[in-house]
Amino acid sequence: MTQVQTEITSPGMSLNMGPQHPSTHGVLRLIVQLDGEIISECRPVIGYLHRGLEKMFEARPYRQNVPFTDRLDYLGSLNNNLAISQAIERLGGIEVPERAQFIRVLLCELNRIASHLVFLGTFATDVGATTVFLYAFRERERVLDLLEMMTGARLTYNWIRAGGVASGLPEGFAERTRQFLKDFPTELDANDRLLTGNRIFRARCEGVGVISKEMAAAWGASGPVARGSGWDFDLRKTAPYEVYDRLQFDVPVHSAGDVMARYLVRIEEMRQSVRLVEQCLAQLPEGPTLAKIPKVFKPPAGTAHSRTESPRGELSFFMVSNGTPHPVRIHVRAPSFVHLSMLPELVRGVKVADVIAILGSLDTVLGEVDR
Amino acid sequence: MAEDGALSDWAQRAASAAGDGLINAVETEHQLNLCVTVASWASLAELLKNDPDFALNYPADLCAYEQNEYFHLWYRLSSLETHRTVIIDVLLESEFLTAPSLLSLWPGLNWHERECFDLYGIRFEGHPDQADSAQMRILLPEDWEGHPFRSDYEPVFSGNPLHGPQERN
Repeated sequence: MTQVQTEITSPGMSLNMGPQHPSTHGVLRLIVQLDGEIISECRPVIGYLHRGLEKMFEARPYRQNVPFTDRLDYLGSLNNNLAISQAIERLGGIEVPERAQFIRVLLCELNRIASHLVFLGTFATDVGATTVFLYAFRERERVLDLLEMMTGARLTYNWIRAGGVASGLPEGFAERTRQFLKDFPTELDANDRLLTGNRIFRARCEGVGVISKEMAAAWGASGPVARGSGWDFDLRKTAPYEVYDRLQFDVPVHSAGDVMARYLVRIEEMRQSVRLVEQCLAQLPEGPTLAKIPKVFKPPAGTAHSRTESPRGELSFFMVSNGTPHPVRIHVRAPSFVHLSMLPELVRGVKVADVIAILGSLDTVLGEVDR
Repeated sequence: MAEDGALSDWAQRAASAAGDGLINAVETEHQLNLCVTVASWASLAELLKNDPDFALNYPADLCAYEQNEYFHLWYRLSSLETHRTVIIDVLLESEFLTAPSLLSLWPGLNWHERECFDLYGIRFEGHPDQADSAQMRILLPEDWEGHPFRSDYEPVFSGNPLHGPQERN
């Protein structure tokens, strides 16, 4: 009997991930070309959540657009409110009262904790550690309770307005927040014991989805993604806004550039947010919380942009005014949009299971990708 | 025609690189605002990326807008080393909406360029998807007709409230 050796080739397989898939954190469709279990090509298809928000902005007076921004990055709504408010204030030359600036920082940092806790829970679930989700969401619930006490809403707050914030702190808010800040670091330590040192978790994360320092810059990565790749780049430090230059906090930077590095940056950021909120409560001055702005607000013709550090990265609003009450154009520079565009580069040559880990580590929110 | 009254050496170099294409240059602390015509943009971009004086390695933002008969491409480029920022407003005539694609300098502009095409119909010469408008579309459906952020865009309704605005059958 003679042995016949033939080379078996296959044209590969095309696989659709999404649009409805729990690991995509929203309505994202990935068309991946597979060679066995290795991905040779990936094309993200976005726009399933496109509501034309930037077009809707044009039809409304500037300040009526703030509620829409809650629907962009819905896990960090207050950070969106802040970014659009800052752009409006720059356009109109509005001074924000000091008390309002402290409350803005306080709210944004609480929101950052809530957002990173969602990342922690969903990301751990993505890579197979389902228990963490329960602990992370239990803690997030406490943050949402605080934000609800302050704003009356649990997701779409619309509390930071052009010129300040809607009101001061309600009675009992400071005490409850202090209690949370006291308990929360212990929970983070418990998470470290549960997840960070876990051997299976580390095996899924270390050396996976590496973004080099050069690649991070050239692709416009910001926030935890840039800091996980070795850039000491945090707009709260490099271009301070509100009262961040008067508060003490550190910027965690890891140079590995892999999924683990981005995870570690976010965990450390939560600790830093706790420090920031504590300082805001301690230093909160008395005074008004909202600047006086005329009912019909007509900023001078020109352009303005804001740059803020949202939980996901650099969130920026760009506005063009022609001197009328309605904007000519408002553009949102959404960090998730930029980070998601890196995905085809990151997943080329990796296994299918790693796509989920890499996508999870970018922490995209499809609301601001699609706008 | 350039108003370059009090530009520092650094800004002066960028302004002169634009040559005749320079319309306006304004410098503030850590930030330079340039307004240039599209013809001078490709060589200026090359300088901003590759010259060690600038080394703007971080493509922070790109968007388009339409104002007073002109289309604008608004680039915001930064350096993550020096945190210097240059904002370039590239002017396009509404009859000739084509700009050079800068993916070879800043690959992160890819989806921004696709978005500018999708919403404004601005073509980017050299973009890998430019030949196929269905591939170039990013936020809108692949078979969408028209570019809805332009002032001359007329919304189309299918006539059936259960269907999307351009959905057939």
